[in-house]
Amino acid sequence: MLEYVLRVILPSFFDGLILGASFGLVALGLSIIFGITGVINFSHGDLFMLGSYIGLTLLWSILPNFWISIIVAALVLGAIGIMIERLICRPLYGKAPLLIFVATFGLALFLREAAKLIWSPNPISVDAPLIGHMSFGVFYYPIYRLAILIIFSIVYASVWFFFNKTKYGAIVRAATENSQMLACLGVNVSRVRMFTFSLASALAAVGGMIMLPIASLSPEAGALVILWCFYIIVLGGMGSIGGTVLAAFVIGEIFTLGSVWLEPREMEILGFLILITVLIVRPRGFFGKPLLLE
Amino acid sequence: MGEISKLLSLPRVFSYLVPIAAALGVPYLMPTYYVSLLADAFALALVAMGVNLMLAYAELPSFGHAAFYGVAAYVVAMAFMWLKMPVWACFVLAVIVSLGLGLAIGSFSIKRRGIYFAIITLVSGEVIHRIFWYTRAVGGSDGMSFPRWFELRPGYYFVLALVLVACLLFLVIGSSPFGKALRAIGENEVRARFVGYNVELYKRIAFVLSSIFPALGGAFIAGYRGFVNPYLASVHISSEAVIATLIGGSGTLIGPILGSIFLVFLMDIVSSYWVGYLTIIGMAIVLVILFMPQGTIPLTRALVSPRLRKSKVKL
Amino acid sequence: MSTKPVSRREFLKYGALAAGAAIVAGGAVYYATRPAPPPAPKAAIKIGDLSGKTGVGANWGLHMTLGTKLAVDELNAAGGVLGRPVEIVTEDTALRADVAIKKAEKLILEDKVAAIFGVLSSGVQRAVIKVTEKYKTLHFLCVACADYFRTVDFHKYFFTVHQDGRMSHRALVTWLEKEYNPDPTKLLITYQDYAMGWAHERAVRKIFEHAFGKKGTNKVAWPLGARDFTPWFPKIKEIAPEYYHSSTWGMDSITQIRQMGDYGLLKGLKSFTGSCCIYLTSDLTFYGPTADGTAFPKYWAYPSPNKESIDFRDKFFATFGQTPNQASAAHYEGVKLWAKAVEKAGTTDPDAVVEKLEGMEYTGPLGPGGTKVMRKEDHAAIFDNQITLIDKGKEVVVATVDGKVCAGKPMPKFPIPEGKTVEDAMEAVYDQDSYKPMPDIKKVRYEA
Repeated sequence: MLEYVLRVILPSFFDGLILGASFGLVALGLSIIFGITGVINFSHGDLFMLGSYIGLTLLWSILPNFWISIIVAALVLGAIGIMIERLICRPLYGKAPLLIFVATFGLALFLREAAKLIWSPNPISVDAPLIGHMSFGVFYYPIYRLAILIIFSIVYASVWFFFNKTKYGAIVRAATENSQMLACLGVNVSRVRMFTFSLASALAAVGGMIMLPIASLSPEAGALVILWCFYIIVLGGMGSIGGTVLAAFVIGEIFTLGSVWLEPREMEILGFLILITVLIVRPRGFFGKPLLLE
Repeated sequence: MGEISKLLSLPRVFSYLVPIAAALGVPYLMPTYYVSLLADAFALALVAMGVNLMLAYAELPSFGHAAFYGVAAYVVAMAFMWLKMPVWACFVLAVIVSLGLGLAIGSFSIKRRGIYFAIITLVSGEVIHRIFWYTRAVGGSDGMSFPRWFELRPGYYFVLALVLVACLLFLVIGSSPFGKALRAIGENEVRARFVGYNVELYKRIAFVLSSIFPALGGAFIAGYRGFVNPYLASVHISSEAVIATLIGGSGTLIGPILGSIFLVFLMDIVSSYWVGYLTIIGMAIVLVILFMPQGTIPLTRALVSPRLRKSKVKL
Repeated sequence: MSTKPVSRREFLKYGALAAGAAIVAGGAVYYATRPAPPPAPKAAIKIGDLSGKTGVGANWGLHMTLGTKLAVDELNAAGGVLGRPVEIVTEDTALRADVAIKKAEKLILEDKVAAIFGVLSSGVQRAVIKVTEKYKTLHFLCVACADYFRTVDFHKYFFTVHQDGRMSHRALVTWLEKEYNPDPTKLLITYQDYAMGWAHERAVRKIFEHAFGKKGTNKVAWPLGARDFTPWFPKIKEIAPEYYHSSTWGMDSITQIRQMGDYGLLKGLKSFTGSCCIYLTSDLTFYGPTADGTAFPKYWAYPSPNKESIDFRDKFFATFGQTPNQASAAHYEGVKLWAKAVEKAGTTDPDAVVEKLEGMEYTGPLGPGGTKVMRKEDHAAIFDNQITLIDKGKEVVVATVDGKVCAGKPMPKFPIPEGKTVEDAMEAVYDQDSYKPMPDIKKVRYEA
């Protein structure tokens, strides 16, 4: 029994944490963008993908080391996020959400196809910066993945620290709840929106870079991620930061642990059934606000 | 009924006959490749009309309408190949199954509005797509082939007839009391509820009705190509339908049709010149939304005759 | 002769007549002796190059075009086919059957190609072969390797230039049995979940069952293009295989091995085999040591001692500056094969060409050398298969297996029973195939 747990369950459990953590960063960004601007950024998954490609290109050309690439990619995507917010989202605030949805869909298509042209439509497999595995009896697990668990913990801790212990984090949180009131209090909400988009994009890039050596990278990665993110934000509640993160880990674990006993493709269908059930039974998700029900 | 008689007034009828005559003459004026492209565009137009029904009247943007398109296509393929049913029976069966699916998906999607509705329908469409993708018995990711029903030209006329029938259906629904109630719900759901309409029931019926259009398109495209694959139910087709509707103008009857023709032709022409054509499409979508959110039909109408400027639906 | 003095009028009249006659005579002489006009250029013969050029299969598709191009350039340099230049029309299927059907029709109806060479993905091929059947167009398959095409999908104008899955797995399984005598319940076949994968898993399973009486092989399927294989690892751990066979191609091949290594799943494997498409020769330098130890059946191996293969290798590298692979070699051979048949038939008319191709003997880069035969009954190319091992990042041929036996019984137009699916029919193909005699295996060592 213990042997089965160590050999099969524990690695899958860790895989689920990693999957959940990476989706969580993207979904988190999506959630806070929605909370503050009311925009569902369809292209967020593609920002995740773009972050990986840009980081990889920099790594292969001018940057010395993988970890630095993560930071640089985050900065670059942060800048791109600002551009997207100003050029595309800002003119559309206040208009029907459908229009913004379709506009960001167009952007997602553009980014995906541009990535195919700039890099290549072929998937790329990248070696992890830490090679090798760790074994402990029958427990066998790649070192890089263990390292990722630690890194994600640091990232999430920083994000939590930012939102809960810093003044600007409190402003962002307040903006997700009620940006009009915040404007009345004299805060430059427009700048907060820009910053939020930038932060969300940077987080997506971090997620993308970290996951780069895990599975091969392709321009279609974004389309896959955004679908999972939709599941996550409906489950966790749109606009709720804690709810989104929790939902991400739940979904990550359901998928990986579920694959131990069921087929992975059945898991996707299962995810959908869970989504529908949640929508019918508790539409606000774990922690979403009832007011956001649309 | 007054609305219908208004629609049948002489100048209006004239404005219908011209495009219809043009459409009838197309196979004699254009090379066969473009005729089949136009047929593809009409099939997409049917999906777009289904989207338009939900969007223009009930303000519900469906991003999963290709589910009906794909399901109808597969039903046709399976009924024709395995059950050896005659062509007309396959069509009827496909529409019936789509209606059933519309009932099922509608039952939980319409509980939410706006973006939530868009996400739910999108995800539902994707699940249907995945189910076809993973089912080996229907060919998995590669789909299935069977002998075609139509040659290129007869097929074109068939889908043209379908589109005309769909337009009539759309007009009948739209000008009926049901349609008016639906529009009221779309404009202000709370008010409609207070006036006494059973909002849930109306939305549910509307969703089921809107599934007829893509079902007709899907059944046709299967018989026309002699081929079905999971792509027919994918988010790509659903989004193309939405975008075509928006480009053409969602508050109008022919908006989705013209938008589909424009989109299909644009994609085909640009794709022969540049493998990266989808970047242009993506950019075009963004630009259209930013600068022409009403679509082109209301715009051209406003240019042509300012009297008719008021479009039916605000966006 | 008259003595009357010539009047001016008469002089003018006769002078004009004489001048006219002189002009006419001069014109006639000039016309008769003018230099021959340049001969009108003869209309080119067009051939279609149809496969996935973008996306996951781009590397394959590119090489299919290059191999076709090299062959066509050589033909044109030698004066063309039937004195006419050959022109290639390339179309991209994007690995999508619906796109491929449209492009195939465009090639046939608008470009009026004399033959189509392609396609890449077996799923797409199943759709395109129906188009070439409908329009009675010559169709040469050089890459897609599922087993449907010589059997249920077969039509008169269709030819297999390389070796399909049924044939190459017969060679591989026989070799595997001889080298390892594996316990079937410890054998795991993983495959991409579409037509090709289904075909290959079926081939390995059925051949073990019928040729060696071994049942109980395991299987795990994943989607074509899956980027991450870890969700399937718990299943693999449960099976705990000792013999592993992978029917994958593209990036999936490398990602899967890498991840399996990371998770300790490669430890304890006695054999690691792949299907014919698991690696492209041209990509091996990229894979590094990860691919070492893989054995797979090849219809074209780089180190082959076949003289035409060596010539092809050198010419390809000289022309394009890169290493060729099985896709380019197969297309090169396919085009040359077609050209030879057309010359023999004296026309591009499909029926006449088919008649010449059936039973034709020819040589080319595929196979270990010697003469090949295009079998009449199911248009399969008969030549020996080369079992290839990856050793220190390079291909080494370790055995050749008799091709005639591996090709099995010809079963063209194999019927699909009422109420059954294509997959059921294909299982029946293996049930009805002949497994005696065993194909001859010759141990060799060919290194480049």
